[in-house]
Amino acid sequence: MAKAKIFISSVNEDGLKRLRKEAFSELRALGHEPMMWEENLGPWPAGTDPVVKCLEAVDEADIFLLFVGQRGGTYYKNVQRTVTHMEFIKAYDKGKTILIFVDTNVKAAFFGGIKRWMDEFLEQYIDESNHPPSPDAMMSALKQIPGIPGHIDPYVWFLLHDLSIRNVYLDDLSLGVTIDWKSYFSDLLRRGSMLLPLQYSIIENGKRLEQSEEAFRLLSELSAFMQTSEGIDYEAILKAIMHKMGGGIIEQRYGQYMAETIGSYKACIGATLYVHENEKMKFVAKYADVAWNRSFRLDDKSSYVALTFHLDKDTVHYTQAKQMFYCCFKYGSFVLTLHFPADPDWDNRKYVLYQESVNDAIINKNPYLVVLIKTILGGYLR
Amino acid sequence: MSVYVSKNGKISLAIGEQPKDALLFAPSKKSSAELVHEDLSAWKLTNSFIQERFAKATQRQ
Repeated sequence: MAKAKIFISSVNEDGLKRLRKEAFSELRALGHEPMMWEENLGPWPAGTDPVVKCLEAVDEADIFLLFVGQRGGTYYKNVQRTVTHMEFIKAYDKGKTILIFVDTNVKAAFFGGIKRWMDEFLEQYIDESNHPPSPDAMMSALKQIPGIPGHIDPYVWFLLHDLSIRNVYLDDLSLGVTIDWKSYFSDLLRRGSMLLPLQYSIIENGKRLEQSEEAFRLLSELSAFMQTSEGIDYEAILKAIMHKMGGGIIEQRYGQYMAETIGSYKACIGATLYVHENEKMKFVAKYADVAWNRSFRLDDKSSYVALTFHLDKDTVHYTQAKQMFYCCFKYGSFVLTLHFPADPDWDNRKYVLYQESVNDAIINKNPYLVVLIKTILGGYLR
Repeated sequence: MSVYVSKNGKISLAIGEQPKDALLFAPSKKSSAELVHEDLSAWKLTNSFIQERFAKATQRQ
């Protein structure tokens, strides 16, 4: 079974050495897989950049654990960050679970006034220079402020400020007091356990967002064709709609438990638009090479356009001879038909068995898109 | 839901073997407006549930 990989990060300062060692031992005893420079990371072959290796280890970890004391750590002038800071940035960027413990005295000094001073300094600097100060400039300025504890490396304030901007929670670290890792990780398990069951809801909401976004994109495209001086460009509208209608698989669903793939259909190859006028469905426009008539009589039972108008419901029609699904949307006096080729394994018998799955796959694939198309049909094109 | 067939100018229930050129159809059970309405309600509900859970899970005790 996979173990939780925990990267233990901190500056190599005396006050934190025992704490790091204890954390490593206890986390391993609890069954986790801690990773720490002096225990199981490195040494690497000559020529290997240790910073790169450490950042790779952060990427590999599930949890990033950082202790912040009074020292800033090894500062890399070319990137203007310390290694510890870069490790944190990597963990943050990769969306790791981040646990940070900060020396209580350092934390109190930071939130007791240094943070506010840094916020104001930043604001003023950006106002005057139109760009943020470099870490070097920030640290130089920090050194000039009276009342700031001189024994604390200015980079620590810079790091804490970055952590606070990113809204990372900072736990208290009382040097000399052992952290109760059992309780801490039990609480973490409790919190994680509350979120894991949300997986389905979050995925579903993500799909809804994608569907809405797709509908919104279509709206933006269509609006361009509805305001031209030459009137409405129906063909362009049909083209835009057609390109939004991809193919897909057709599934038989067994409630919430499972879905079985029944077959598939190809992307839309053409579209037609008819309007009800004088007891007929009169041709308005088409896009691509699809069959069309000038008009259909309303009582023409062989016309999916006329049938859909009568049914007053969105309907998928199927003919085995043409191996085609005709998806018809009716709104007001309009009937829009989209032509989707059926895969060769479809026949009349299969359609009769799985027509509900066909409707689900084609009509209900993105109801937001369909409602938008109908709004266009019933509103702008009326 | 019943499947209908259009052949020889008539509409009937599609029972048994159908000719290859027959037009088969079955209207959808729910309109897209109904589906969107249901989906939006579900979306709002799950959103508030997710927010509530995250608030509890991120609360420091």
